[in-house]
Amino acid sequence: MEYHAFASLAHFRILLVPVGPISRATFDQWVAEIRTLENIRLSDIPPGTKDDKARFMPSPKSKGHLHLSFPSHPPPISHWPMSLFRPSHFPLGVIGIATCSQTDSLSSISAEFNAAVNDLFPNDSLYPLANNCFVFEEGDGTTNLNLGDHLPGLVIIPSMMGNKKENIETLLADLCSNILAEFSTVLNTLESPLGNEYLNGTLFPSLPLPSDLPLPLVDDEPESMSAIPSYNSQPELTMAGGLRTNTVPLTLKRNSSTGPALVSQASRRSTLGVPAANKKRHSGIGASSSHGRLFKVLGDFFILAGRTEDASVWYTEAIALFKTMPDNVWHASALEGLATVALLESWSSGQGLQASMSTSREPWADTSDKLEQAISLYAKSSPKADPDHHYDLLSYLYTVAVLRQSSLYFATWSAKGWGPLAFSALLHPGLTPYMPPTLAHSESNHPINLDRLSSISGISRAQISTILGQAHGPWLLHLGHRERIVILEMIAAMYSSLGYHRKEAYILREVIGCIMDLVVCGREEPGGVNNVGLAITFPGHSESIPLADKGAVGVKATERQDGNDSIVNLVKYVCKVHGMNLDSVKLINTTAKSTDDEASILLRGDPEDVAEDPYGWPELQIGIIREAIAVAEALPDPPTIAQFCLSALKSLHAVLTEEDQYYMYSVSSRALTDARRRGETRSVDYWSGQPIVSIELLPLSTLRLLVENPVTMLAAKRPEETGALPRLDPFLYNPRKSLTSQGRTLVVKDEPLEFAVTLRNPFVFDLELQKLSLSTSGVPFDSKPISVSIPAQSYHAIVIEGKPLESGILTVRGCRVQAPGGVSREFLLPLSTTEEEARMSQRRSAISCESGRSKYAGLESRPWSKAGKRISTVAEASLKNFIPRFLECKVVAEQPLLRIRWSSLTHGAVMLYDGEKSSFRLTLENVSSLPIDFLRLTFDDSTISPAQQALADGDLSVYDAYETEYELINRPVFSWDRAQETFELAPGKKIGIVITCMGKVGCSSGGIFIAYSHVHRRQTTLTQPSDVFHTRQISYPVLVTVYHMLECHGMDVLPLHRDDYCANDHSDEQSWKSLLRDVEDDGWCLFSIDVRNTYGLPFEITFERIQEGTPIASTTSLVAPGSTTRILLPVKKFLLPEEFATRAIPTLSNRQFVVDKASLTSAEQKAQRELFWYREELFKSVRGRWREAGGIRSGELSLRQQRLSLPMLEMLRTETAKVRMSLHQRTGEEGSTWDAVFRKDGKYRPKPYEYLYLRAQVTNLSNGPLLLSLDLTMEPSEHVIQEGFLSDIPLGRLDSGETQEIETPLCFVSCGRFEVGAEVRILGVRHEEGKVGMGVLRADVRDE
Amino acid sequence: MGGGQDRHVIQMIANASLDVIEEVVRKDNAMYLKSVDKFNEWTVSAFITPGNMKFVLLHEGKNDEGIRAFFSDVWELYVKTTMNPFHTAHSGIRSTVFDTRVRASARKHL
Repeated sequence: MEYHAFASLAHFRILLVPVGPISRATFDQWVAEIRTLENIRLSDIPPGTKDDKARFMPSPKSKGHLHLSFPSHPPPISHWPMSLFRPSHFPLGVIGIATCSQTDSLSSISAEFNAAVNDLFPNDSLYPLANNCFVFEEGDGTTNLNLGDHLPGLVIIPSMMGNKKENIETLLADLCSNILAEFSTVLNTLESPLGNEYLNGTLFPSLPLPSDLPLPLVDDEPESMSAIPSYNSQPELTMAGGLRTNTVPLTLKRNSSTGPALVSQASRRSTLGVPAANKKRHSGIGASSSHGRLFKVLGDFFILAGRTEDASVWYTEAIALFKTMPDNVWHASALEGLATVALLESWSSGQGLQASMSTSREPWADTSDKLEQAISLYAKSSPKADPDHHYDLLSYLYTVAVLRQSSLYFATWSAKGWGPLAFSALLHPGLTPYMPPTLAHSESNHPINLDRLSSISGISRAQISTILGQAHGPWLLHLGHRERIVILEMIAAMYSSLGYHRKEAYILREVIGCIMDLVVCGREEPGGVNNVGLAITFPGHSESIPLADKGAVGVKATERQDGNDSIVNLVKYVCKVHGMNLDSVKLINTTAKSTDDEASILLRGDPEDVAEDPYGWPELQIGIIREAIAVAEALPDPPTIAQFCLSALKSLHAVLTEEDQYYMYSVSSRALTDARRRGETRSVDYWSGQPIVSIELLPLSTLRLLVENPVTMLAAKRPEETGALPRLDPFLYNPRKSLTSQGRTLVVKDEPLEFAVTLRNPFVFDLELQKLSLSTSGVPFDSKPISVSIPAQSYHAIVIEGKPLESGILTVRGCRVQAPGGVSREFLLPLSTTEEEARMSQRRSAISCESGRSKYAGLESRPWSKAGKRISTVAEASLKNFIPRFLECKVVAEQPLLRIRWSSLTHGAVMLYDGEKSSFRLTLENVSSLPIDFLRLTFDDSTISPAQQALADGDLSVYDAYETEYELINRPVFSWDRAQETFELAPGKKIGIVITCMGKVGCSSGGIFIAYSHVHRRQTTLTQPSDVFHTRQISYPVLVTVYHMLECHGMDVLPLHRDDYCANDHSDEQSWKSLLRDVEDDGWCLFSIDVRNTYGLPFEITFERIQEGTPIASTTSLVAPGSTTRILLPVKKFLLPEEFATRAIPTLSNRQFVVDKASLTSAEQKAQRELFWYREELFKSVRGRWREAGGIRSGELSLRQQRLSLPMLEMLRTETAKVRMSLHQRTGEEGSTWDAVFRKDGKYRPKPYEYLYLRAQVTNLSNGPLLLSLDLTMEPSEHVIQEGFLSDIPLGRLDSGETQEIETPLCFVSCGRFEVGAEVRILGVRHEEGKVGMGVLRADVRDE
Repeated sequence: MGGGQDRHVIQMIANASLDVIEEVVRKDNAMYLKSVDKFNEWTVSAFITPGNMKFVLLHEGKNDEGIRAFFSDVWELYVKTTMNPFHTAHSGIRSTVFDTRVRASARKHL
């Protein structure tokens, strides 16, 4: 890159050109080598040979330096007019660099070199003043290249030479010496009056061609000057005379400035005409002219020759002349020269400038003043009406001067003050002029660092920026593209180093505009639009540079992408400064496909879904983005166009208008089509944020639904265990249960699955997705990608179908989405588990906590520069540990399929009476290719869940809980014959199953669930068969109607004495008698219950007694509608063994044991248990059934609603001790036997006044030995005489079943009815509790 | 360099001048920064509210007092706008009242 150093006026330029076949690397190597020689001491330069050319030659003792600079390109042709105005702008010498290994090729190298030099410079040019060609010998050095003398200008540098650098230095010094000698020649020409006229002829004069000059000049004879004395005024003559003698001024100049001072005194007496006249007569030769320009040229040459004192003197002279006779441009240039001289002097006097810091003014202030003056002079000169215009050169000079001044400030600022570092930066900026060491480290762009530099150097950045800002203006349009780009680049670089990135971006935007002009112009036909001054026109805005030639086929000569890429990078940078990240959609090279590092986004981990603070100026951003797109369109670079459009849509869609969105989208899709047509390897990444909102597995149809069961289920079950009871966990809270229930859905291999995917489109246009497929892992999943169009600004649900091909776990990670022409992208969608939700909410709160807070302002608050600083690292750390869980399906092997072929129910409805049992039939058909070898039916009905709920609530008493459980387990609405459970149903075959249905009041509906499976599969591998198997299920709903028609209530148990009932006359019915037939005298009781018919039809009810040790008996009665019938049935008393009757009331289900809430005493508990067990026993013995009168329907009559009370229990239970009493008398003589007294209707008929024996037989009926006593009572006692005690008659210890007899003599002393009672009590127990048995004897005493 | 007819070019200049304004603000406590920057033949004046909100005005001529008055008018209007509890520092001002009043003030002072 061409660079305008501050001290460029003092740069001795030597152009380096490659000659002959030289590789780029070799050339670069030697160029780098040569470029290290920045300075050459004047004392090293060999003095010239000819005296008259020694004017600029340094004396061997002089101390200055030549400052070399080695450009690689000559200045553009348009700058040639400046050749005298600014010699330092042109290469003074040319060095060709060649390599050679053969002697004979040297001549060709020489010829090539000369040709190249002729080619590079116009024929009439002043420069180069000297040429040289360095031929670097290649190879091992065995060939000795011998130059000889026949090829002048060619220097061989042997490869075996040790210190090449020193050699090169010497050669360079020689070359410089030649050039310096040539300076004299040039100046000699100019010093002639004619030459001076030429010099003053135009604003930017050129040296007259030798042919244009009068002969004497060409002869270069000093006398020739005198030949044209009339042209010159007196001072010039003296001047010319001085020059003629040549040695005198030289010596003067070398020693001091006295010589020029004399001349200047003379020249002040100027008799020259006004410069305006000069300008008009630019072609006129011979007009008398000022020597100001000549002195300035002298100064230029002296400064190049390193002789600063001389230069300073001549410049001062020149300025003095210009002041009297304005010549703005030259004046300004001289001022620039003076400024350079000052710097050079500072540099060479070294480093000891600290002393001058003490002065009140800044040390550079003087230099700066000069430059400022120069700038203003240049600025004034611009509108000059010069016929040749030269606006371009004037603008160029102006901007270069501005840059010179700003680089002075910049270097001083960046070098922390006016010191050696600043000098060398100004003099030899090196390759990275705007990256001085103070700004090179990474933290350098931090404002604090920049401010520190300002405070050290005393120059604020704003100051530099103000100066630099002057360089930018409409005049830049006068410059050629190339210069404009260079200058803009320099401005941008300086702004960048200043940390003024927004200004940098502005300038860069113009650089881009300039480059694009060149690009577009270069593409157009030669002689096409000359677009000077149209630097910033973009096809996106005006159609001035049309995309029009669509028909024309553009052929790119070179396929180099670097240029385009660099432009694109610039555009991106500009956008980035304005807060838009054009890289937010990435370009991916599709050829280098790597699936591993494919970017994937976690749905809600995506920061996009949380609103971030907007950054930037939306209106401006949109304008810039449009420009960026236009640039990409002009390149043309279709993938980049698409990238820009889509990035803009992605990051700016909140502020883009609808039209803009449409525009961007259509441009991007067009660009992508173009890209595809062109065979682009790059493609845009998927761009439109996360489109997937949710993925769900659509539930399988109930026919196909799968259930996982443990293999233990196959083992035979206890018959009473049915599905009616809830399969209760032994634990009230089971944490594992919730885990297993979540996630895994069961699906079947090779059967289609459907996933419902919800998509979102936040844009105003319909979003096309070329491909949308599920991203799965685990078992292979066969699914075809589908293309979707999501309507604008809406949610859209679609269904993706697919088939798992193997059994195993299928994980649905998310979706793979591909926009048209883009690259597919995977979006992950984790399950919304608690951790996931926690993570999300944490993230959301972190962001919402930070949003709206503006800690950083300006460029630091751009979203991406904020990201690193603000989001707390804790959240990130937790992110890393987080393993997302995804939707998982368990794919199981193929399953058979069954269907219900036929049912015997009409409309699936059953109508039943309460307690009625009926059955119906279902026919099942196997419609799959697999056999079915497992079938299990479970049932549900509407009574189950309330009962289960009641049980689960646990508010029921033990008794009620038992009743509920009993209902659930033993009286299910539906049941079936389990014998059918194992069987084999071959494919295509049918089977019928019979289901029994029982009417239960409150049941309104029910369901039959038929689970079936193919369990016994052939094992294909040796792996352990899994401990689960899968069943499918068919459900068959049944409507149930149950009529409640008979109500039982008022159950009672009454004492039964056969004698009593037999004696009754009204009980003469046959049935009753037959019932009583079996009844023995005691040990029986009477069971009674009321049955009411609440239905409209009569029913016949039958109660049956099935009791061990008694014949079966039954009683039947017809209950008319609305009437109540009491049923009586004798039941034999029974006694349950103590340990049996006091067992706890069982729970039929395996519910968790819950501590009884009701706190009963042990006695109460015992009583409750006895009641329970006796009731159970009673219901086992007594069964009720009903039958439709005149119909065939029949059923059970449930007694379970009835309660047993304590008195009833007493009746029902056999006494512990049985007392039998009888009366005996002696009918005959003394000593005759005792006979039983005559008995009729259960009553004894003794006679009064006879001695009788009352015999009481007490039998212990309990299962253990008892200590008993007997109490007797006789009523009315006053009419009975007895012997001995009547109470507490000891019976002693009676073993189980043992009988003891007590005899008591007595005598009835009156006629009438007597009743003798006996009570057996256990000794040592309280009176009430101890009573275990009683007996009654009735006697009817008559005197007959 | 190209005249700057485009609206967004002018916006860009205003935006670019923030570079200078930000630096000046760091040292200078004044709220009104007159002619803080010159760029592309535009002069930039700025006004910094205590809440670090920056008003930037591009102008050509010199009109110090007018600009100062204009800026204080705008400031007052801005403060009134920010009193709206639903307004945040990041949200744009869409109030038409604000717009018309700023325009009126511009007519008066500029």
